[in-house]
Amino acid sequence: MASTLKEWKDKTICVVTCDGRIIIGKLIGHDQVQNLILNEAHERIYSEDTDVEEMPLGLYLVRGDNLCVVGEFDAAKMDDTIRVPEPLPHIYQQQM
Amino acid sequence: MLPLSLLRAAAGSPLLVELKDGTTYNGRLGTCDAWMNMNLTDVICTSATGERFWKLPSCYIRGSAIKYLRLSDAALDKAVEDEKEQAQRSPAGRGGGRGRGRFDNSAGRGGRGRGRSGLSTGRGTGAGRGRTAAGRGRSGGRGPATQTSSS
Amino acid sequence: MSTSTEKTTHRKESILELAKMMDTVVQVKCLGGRELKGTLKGYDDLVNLVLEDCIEYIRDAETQMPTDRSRKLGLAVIRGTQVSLVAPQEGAEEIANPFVAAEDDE
Repeated sequence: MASTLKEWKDKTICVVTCDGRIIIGKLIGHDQVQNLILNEAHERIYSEDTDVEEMPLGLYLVRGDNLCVVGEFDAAKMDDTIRVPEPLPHIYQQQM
Repeated sequence: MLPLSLLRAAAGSPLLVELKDGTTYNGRLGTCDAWMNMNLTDVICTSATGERFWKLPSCYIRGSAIKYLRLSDAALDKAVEDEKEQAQRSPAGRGGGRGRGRFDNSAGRGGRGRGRSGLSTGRGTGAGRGRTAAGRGRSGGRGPATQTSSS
Repeated sequence: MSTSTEKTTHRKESILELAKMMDTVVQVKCLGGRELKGTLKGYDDLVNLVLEDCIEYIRDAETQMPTDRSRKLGLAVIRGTQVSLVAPQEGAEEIANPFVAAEDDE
């Protein structure tokens, strides 16, 4: 467990941004407003019909405003076959 | 390393900025400031849908509108170098925030101002740390404070 | 003091570019999604802008994307807090996808 980002410095972390992207990268720096520098970053893209895709991003700077969740990342615990479930239909469609 | 020092080191190198509205701007970083406001040159703007593209000779982007930035690896190397250089120039490193000393009290501004400008040369990244009470206290205790009492 | 000096120099550098844009036509994007065009007549440190002969691009009701239709606002002051992007109109043009070639290389 880590209570501050400092403890994750130089470790690979997983970031969920406000727009729902999942970004993995090595945390090489951060500041008081949680702007993060991620090195060798890549985005994990989950989809309905294919396995998880990884999109390389390189050196990445995420603005603190845009952060949602930061977590430790363990590649061994990753399951690349996970699919995103179909989105729920609209409520008015169910009623009809 | 601080994100803003990385950004400062990235001046002149190519950069991709995505704004909160989803549009992306590809360009060369000109200048940037402490609020992450920046100037880009030779910009290619891509709409949020990724269908339309515009070429802009330059643009000014407000830091608060940014979602994320993608930088070149060369920028990281440069930032690491700059950091080393900085450490060599001011081994204490933490002297930074003396600059805030002027908020202690209103008297003796001139004297302290002069004192600080002497101290301030050659340190950049340490700026702003002096917001802490300790930092302020130190600044009061420096030479300029005696000037205050004498004036 | 030096901190603030440092900030102002940075700010000045940034603002300098706005000085270059004085009396030229600029495009402005606002945080809410509005897009404006007008002649830059003035600005301040907070990036409040004065635009003359300002037009606002009308947005599509569904996509919220600005269209080519516009409405006239005339002389307008844009509050700095809402400004997200300022770019000169001169030299700006819509182009074909410049990244296609790069993607083919990969």
